[in-house]
Amino acid sequence: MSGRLPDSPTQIFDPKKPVKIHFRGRSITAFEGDTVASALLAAGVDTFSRSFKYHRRRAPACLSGQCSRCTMNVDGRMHIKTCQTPVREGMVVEPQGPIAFDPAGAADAFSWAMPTGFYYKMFYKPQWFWKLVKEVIRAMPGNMAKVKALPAKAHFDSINLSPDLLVIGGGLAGMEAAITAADAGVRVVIVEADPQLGGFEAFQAEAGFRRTQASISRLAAFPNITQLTGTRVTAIYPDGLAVCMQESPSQSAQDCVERSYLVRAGATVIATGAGSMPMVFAHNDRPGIILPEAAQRMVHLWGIKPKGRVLLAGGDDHIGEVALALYKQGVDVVGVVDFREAGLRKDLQSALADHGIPVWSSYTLTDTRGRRRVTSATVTSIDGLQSKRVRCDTIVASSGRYPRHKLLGQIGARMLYDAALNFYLPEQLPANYEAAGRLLGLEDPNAIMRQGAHAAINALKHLGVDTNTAKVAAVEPADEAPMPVTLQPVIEDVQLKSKTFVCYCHDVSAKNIEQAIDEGFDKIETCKRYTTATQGACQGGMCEANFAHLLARKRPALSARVLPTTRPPVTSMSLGAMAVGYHDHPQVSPLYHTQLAHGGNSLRMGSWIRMVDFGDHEAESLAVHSTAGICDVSMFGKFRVFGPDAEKLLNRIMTRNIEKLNGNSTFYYTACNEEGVLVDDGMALKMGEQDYFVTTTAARAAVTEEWLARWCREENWQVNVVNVTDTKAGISLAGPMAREILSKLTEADISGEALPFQKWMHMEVAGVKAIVSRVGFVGELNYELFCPASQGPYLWDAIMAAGKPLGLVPFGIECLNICRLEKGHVLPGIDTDSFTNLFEASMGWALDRNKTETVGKAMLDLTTHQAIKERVIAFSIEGRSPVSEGALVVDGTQQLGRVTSIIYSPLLKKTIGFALVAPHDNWVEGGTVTFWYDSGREAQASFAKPPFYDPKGQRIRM
Amino acid sequence: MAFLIDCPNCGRRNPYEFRFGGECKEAPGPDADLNTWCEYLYFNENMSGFQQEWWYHNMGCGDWVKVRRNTVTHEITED
Amino acid sequence: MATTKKVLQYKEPEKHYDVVIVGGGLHGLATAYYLAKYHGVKRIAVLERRYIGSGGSGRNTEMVRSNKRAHETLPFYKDSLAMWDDLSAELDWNLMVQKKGIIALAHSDGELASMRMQSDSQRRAGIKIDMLDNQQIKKMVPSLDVSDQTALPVLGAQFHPEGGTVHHDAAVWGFAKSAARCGVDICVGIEVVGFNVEGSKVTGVQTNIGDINANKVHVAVGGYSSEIARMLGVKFPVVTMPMQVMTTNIMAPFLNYYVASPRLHWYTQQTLKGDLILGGQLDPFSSWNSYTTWEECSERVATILEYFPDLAHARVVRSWSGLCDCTGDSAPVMGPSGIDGLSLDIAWGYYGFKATPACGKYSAEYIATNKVPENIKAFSLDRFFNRQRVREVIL
Repeated sequence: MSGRLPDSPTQIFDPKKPVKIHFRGRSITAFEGDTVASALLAAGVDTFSRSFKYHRRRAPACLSGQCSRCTMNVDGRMHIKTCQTPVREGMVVEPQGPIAFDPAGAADAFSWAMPTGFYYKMFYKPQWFWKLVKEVIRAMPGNMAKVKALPAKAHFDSINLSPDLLVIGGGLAGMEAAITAADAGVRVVIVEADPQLGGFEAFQAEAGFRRTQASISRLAAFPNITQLTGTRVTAIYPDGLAVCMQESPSQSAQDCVERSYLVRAGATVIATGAGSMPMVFAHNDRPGIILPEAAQRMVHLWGIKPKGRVLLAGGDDHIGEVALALYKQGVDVVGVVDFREAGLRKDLQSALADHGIPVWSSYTLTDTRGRRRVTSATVTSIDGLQSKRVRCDTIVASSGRYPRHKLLGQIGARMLYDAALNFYLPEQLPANYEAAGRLLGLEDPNAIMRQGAHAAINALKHLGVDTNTAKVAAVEPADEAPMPVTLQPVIEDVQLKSKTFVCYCHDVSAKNIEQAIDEGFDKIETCKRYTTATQGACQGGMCEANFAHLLARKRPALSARVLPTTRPPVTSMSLGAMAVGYHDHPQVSPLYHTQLAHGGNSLRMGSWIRMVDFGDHEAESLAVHSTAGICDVSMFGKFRVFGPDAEKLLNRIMTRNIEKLNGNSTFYYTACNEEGVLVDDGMALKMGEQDYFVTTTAARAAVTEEWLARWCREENWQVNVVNVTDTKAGISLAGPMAREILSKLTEADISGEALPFQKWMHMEVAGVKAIVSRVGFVGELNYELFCPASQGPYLWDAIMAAGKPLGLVPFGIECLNICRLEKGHVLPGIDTDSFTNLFEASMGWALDRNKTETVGKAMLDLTTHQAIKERVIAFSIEGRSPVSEGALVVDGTQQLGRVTSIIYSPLLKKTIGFALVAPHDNWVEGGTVTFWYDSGREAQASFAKPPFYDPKGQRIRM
Repeated sequence: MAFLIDCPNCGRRNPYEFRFGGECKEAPGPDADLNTWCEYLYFNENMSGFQQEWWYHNMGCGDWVKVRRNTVTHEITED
Repeated sequence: MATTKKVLQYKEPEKHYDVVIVGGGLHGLATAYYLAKYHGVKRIAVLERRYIGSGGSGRNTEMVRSNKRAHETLPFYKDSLAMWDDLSAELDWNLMVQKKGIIALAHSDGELASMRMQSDSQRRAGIKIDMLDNQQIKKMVPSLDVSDQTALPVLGAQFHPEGGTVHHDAAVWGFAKSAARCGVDICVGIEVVGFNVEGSKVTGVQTNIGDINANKVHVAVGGYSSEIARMLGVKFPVVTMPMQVMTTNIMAPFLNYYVASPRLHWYTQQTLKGDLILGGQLDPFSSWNSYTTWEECSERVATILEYFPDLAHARVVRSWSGLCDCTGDSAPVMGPSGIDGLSLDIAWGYYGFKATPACGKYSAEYIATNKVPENIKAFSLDRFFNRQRVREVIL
């Protein structure tokens, strides 16, 4: 097998199952169980990406999903963390931008010219120079992904889960929590970001690995535990929703590429563990400088030997343990640097000495050299007096543990700095949330497991589960103390240089931060914005602790190591996966397909898809006036309102008095809001005592339902409101031949005497029971038929069949628009806006002055005698006009208003319309209306008094 | 700080299932003048803290609910 | 070369000032700067309870434009947009002004009509504006889907070539730096908890560290205006709602314009750095908590993805929100408060950033002269009582 250590019990890849992946045009043999990053490291790849500002070579630092240095394009998807992406046969992996030779790498040499905030201080004089410079700046960043379409079949999906307990983190603490809860019988979901369960302990040599394997087997025995591995919890939102993102849940690139699990759990245990903080020293970003967890994972999980001579550095005993473990795997360990004065635990010291590995206590790392990767390190005593160079090809360095706390911040538990421990611990967690494990600073595996079990017991109590069962009760009380961390000492001028990186994502150095503080940016929020530290792809995951420590060094009083605010997501999530749950559902009428079959041209309008026309709206309007037309009016809001207080309710919203409606009568009504602004209109049909059928405009249907419910609630009225908008189809049949057509289909007496204008009746039309009313919207003899939605298409076809010989045509909303403008009907929301009151809409006639409790009436009364600010006027132009809706109405330099509706009437041979305008002397018979449109063209129209057609209304009464 | 609205019919539900009806206000009496009306219509207490407000459960039971909510912490309490 | 000169300088407040400005956001800092620089006011303090620019100033999406449709307000916005051009030189600080152009998409005939109206209105006010057809849009934004396959197909757009972005933090620091150099005391960690009013005149503010006397007090507190109202025992015509915004990983330049869909409530732009800013909708309920929510973020992303399908694998790295104190007529309240010596610059909803220079200039003019400048007359508090609300309808 190629370049791997001999088989070991801790390895998680299968050397018998090779997998081929493609990297920069060459084929690389990996094994099942490898991640992309482990495969590339095993193949000797040194550089994974180039850095943001200076285009420095970068390679994975953590191999555990925290840093952003290993991100590449995988199978066409940008910014994929290769360290957590399992390999798959045929996978194509490409770096984002040049990595071998990067001409922009020259930026590294000019970093002296780029102090913090240099953009703010340069390039802005003169203005044209900035315009040039900004285009150069845009092209500069390293590791920029290209925006390209995904393969055609790639898609995203989403699954909802509602377990009793959600456990976040599949390490020892999380697994123990899951097992304890599952044992009590509740349903558990456990989420782990790595492709496998185990967490930190899984790569702590053989003992640790065996411990996790035991937990994994115990856990697998529970059918009530769902495992989601390779899944990151990206956020917990204010309503308790935990969003989990799983990369490539299936093994084919053609398939689902990212899946979201939307988890709403009864209780949650957060056991996200701790990571290592990078050490602060000059040139601490070179390829080959890695965190202890990366070295441990390489060796124990994937059998990859860290390259060449390995130097370790840190300030805790863990670094000594790692050094020993690496040595035992045959790694060439050249020394251990410990910045503590006391140095390593005695047993570790003697064990290392036994193997001839030098240990430098009270020493720290101050600098490194190397081009493609690190080749040597400078090791300096912490008093700064002694210094030596150590040749090495890999540096494993960390300044201590740091909790992966971001989800705690999202549930509202701030992290507070414990000065005794040098560790951040959460405030009181909200109810239903528990935390456990290395996240809370524990180190001992047994303590971690006990605490995990205890977190589960507390969670079970939240869930109301009996925790006195034998197994659960057997768990000993947990009283575990966090282990302290030793702060890294800093040697001022030696260690803090312009290439001592704190924020790797944005190439922000310690010097940058110090300079920012000197310039007055000494609060964490202003400092992070000015330097852009913590704002990169890892969102502070790698740098915020060092950032806070540096700030606290310079300004101990100002910021007692406050961390920047944590906001979702913890790790990035793709737009595709986020968008899955949202669907746009336009509404269609029950007559939609029928009308398409009749040649209708449809258009999405608001939430509805409606028919614009059936080929020629002008011809349709002429047919309505000469023979007959049929139109779909199903999108009207439709309500049945009945019960003892029905009239009170309707009188509350209608400006006319419903009590004046006699049996079998209908009327047109308007409705205002509390400001007196016209918001709706429609028809009311009296069906019986305290029993009405009411229509509203299409746009208003949903609001009307809320509105009616609100008044019933406030007044405690006894009314039933049944929304029949979707259950009834509506057909408008209009034109001089309408009666003749309808009479072919019904036995009912529909003569002008039996069913006159503004009356309605139940009847069977073509065998379909319908409410048929006489209305006047289009200016001709006009029936509106409402029938069950399922029978709508049949009724439409029956009417079409009966009417065709008499010249019946279907018509759409454009024709409807011509007809209503000919009749001078104002449309609320089209000809008026959210400021136009009933008077300003020129519809004062629709207000019953004697009513008292109508919504809006008080304001209309109080403003009756005030000057009108804008009003609706009608106008006409001989022939056709190029003016369209939105044209301004002007008088010289004065802007008076705008055209709200305008259309050519082939019947009148005029262009007619409405405008919403400020008061003006011209608004009298014969006055001129001047339009300003298309950047300054002018046109004129005559002020007019509608209706333009059949002013006496004889035709609607036929 | 779980942000959920307590609906008497449907239980604790996601706020996006509701339409927000604004803070509860007393409508002016029959003899109120224009200034009183304008203040009622356009001006709000807009409390940063607990306020009584209306929510309409449009993706649930279709009922109006009066809720006492802390607009800063989203805590909901009984009257 | 680097300069170690202090950019931000804070002071402990004195006991008396000519003008105290409540709120160390952009509007407050700009007002202080213009007062000191152009009106010769000597003793000015800006009081900020957190850190400068901590509210809406640092949370907006950096858009600058003069896109309003109520024609009486256009000269104000036009002025503000033009002022940004010269500010970098004036403040000696690069505000990274990018007049990249804003494309507002229309999805219906009604919106096209509304945009035509708005465009003509703006042209009459001397603002450059164009209408685009789908072919032109596609040429300018090749990654945008203008076909009829989207949920609400694009039918055209309005193009505002002088609109664009300004780095919001740069603006905060630029104004703070210059104000301090003109002698303004910028005091952070000072929270105003009340006002001292004698008769009908304000005489100072009460703070967490004691009273500060002032001849004049100016309120510029962004989304928190109602807290000031409660101190004064009045109400303001606003509701506070959060607006949520997201940002993505870095991508190679592919989007040269600011693209918005007013109908679907989204906008997006690619910053100098290469990340995308996504946002555009107020939360549908009042809140004083700057949370972000899955419902809002996923809906916003879905509506944007409908038109930029290639972005499906772009990744959101951070979301945040800012508080907006919104009036019903989408216009702010500026000028007199009804209390002598107390002036307002509030109710800026989600559109206050672009207005910063003009707000500073005209607020300063009003404070210094006691005369309400013509360009902000439409924004008076009185308008809510005398039916003169700004007819700023968003269709």
